[in-house]
Amino acid sequence: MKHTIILPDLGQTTSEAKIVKWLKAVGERLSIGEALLEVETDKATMDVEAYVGGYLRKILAREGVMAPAMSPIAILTDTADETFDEEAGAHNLTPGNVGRDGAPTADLPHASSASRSAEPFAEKSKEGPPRPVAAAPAARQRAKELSVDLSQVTGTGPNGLITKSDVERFAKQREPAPGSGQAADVKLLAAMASFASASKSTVPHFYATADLDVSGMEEWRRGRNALHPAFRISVNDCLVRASAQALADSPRVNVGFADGRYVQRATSDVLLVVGRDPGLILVPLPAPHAIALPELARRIRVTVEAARQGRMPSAFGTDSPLLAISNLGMFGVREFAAIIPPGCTAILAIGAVRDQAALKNGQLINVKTCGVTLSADHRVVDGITAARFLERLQFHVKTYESLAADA
Amino acid sequence: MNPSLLTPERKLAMYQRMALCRAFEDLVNSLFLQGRMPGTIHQAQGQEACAVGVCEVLREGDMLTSTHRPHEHAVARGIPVKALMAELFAKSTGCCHGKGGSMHMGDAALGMLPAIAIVGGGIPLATGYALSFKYFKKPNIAACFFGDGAVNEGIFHETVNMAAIWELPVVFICENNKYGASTSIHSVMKVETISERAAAYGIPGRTVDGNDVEAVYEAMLQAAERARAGHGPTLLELETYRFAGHSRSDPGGYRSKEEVAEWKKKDPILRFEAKYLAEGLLTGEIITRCKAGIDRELSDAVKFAEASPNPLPEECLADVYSE
Repeated sequence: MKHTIILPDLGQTTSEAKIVKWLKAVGERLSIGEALLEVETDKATMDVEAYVGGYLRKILAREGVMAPAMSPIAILTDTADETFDEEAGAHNLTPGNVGRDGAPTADLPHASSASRSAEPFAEKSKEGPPRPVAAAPAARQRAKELSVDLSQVTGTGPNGLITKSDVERFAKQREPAPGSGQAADVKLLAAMASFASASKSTVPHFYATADLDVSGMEEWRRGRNALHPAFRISVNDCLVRASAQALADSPRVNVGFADGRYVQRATSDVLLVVGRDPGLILVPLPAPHAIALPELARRIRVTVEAARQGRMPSAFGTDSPLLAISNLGMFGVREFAAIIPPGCTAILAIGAVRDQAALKNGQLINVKTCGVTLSADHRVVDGITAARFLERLQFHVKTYESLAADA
Repeated sequence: MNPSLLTPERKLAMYQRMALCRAFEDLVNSLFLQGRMPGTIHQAQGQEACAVGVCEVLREGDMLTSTHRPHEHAVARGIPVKALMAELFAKSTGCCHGKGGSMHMGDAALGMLPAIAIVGGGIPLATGYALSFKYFKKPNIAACFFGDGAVNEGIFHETVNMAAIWELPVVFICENNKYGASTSIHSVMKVETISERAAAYGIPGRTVDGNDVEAVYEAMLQAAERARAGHGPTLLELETYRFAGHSRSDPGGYRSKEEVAEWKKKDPILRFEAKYLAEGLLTGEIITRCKAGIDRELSDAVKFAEASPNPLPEECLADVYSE
């Protein structure tokens, strides 16, 4: 009989691990409880024991790769030379629908899944661990043709085996494929449309762009992240905090304008613009400059993830922060000008960090540079105020040691 | 102690309980490796004699509190294995209706308060039960498991002192497995033993071999009799060792391989087997039969858990507040 070995969910903050070393070779025999491989999680390197004895027949995850938790990594068989179906999926398990915290995973928020969205399994994490599926070869073939995800199909064959007709029935019943205009997408796009045209047609925008020298910040960040690889701090985290510091230094930017009245805001809160393919979500962050950077980074991750899952924090209600921040740097965008969200006075658009050659004392040096553009409402902010804000931003980014000190 | 209290039947029953505790934990580990169970589990392999020796003394109506490592306590206290397994699978038939999970094993109706994962959190609750037993003149006692990590918490000192001055019927049981998560007890405590702290509260304290189920039983029996007689609490320190890491995400690299191997030689179950195979109380056949029975019971429990329904969303707020 064949047994599929999965990568157990060993991490504390992430659901993946690196395959460090296979302790057994293909063909070798091992007994129950014996260490089969060594993995490296976010916290530690540890052995994974076999839950069943047998012969190691196939290794599905090479040494050195990052594998998502619950994914098949090896195949064992009871005897040394029996033939077996090489597909990882079909084996004898019925996974329980329990998540990391013992709760049903259906609605379980994964605070860290934002950073894992590139994984093939991240899509399924909402429904719990990816289920190993038992399906007839013909059913697999048909599923491929019809682009059916077998884990979604209920099998009616022996022991719940998925048959070809199960796949076809499922394909008939399923919703129209993405691309043909789903209702939810239209709603999100409509919301974005009304906010963008309302803002752009009523708020007189003007733009000020600066190249921030982020060399010190990047150097500090590299050192810090090497020390704490499981709790990385991003360019965005640093710049959100520095922007809030600059905002605290620039009370003239922190003024709201509505119905002909100017209102000074007392706290330096910011509004994060988060992409949600398609559409946008606005996530308020109360006084980020008052929070130590590692904690701020964690809060941003958790809050953004909560917002992506539709659980918007309602800390501010209609009383929105006045400075918004939008970042496309992770996509390599050099710089861009953003539209001010309704209720805000300005928005800072952050571009990618790039290498820029510069002359210093006659020497050619590399300066890590980040292009930022402040779009501001000219009824509230004038050019000098915008320039001073950017100057304060550069100041806080440059004196990065002050951020590092309490990190 | 009175040797007649430990009849051969009782010894065999304790052996069977220990074997069930171990098999339960091993099965949970296997389910975890198969991806059928989440990893936020704290396992107690190696500490069976503590759980079983203590619970064997408890009677109906007595109350036990536990820790973040409660599986074996619950099995030893006699909470049905099906209800425990279903709880681990987050099913509505679980002992906490599937809403508690690994760290909240227990059933107050069966004499074990659902475990509290907060370090030291069970200590004041057990003492509260003891106060109520005394106030309402009930013949019961409370027993309270906690780890070595709890004895430097303020709540430990405050509660033990209070239980001492009021002479409450409670037994404080420290399972000293030498490490609070990854911290060695000797790096956070100046005295040699935990039990000697009892002197500070004016109560008896005893350090016991926590891997010898008979020694644990005997010490617990004395402490329980003292409590039932109205003479107040006792502090027991059971010296033991967990074979696994603190939790499934902990490889336990802070302990040397030699140290772990040394303690595995003191495995409470193997020790019992070695002693009583030699004395003739146990035979290979008894052991085989015992293990076969346990395998059946556990595989039934898994089937039961897997077939049980999930908790309903509308039950989300049930059992949260007392009416």
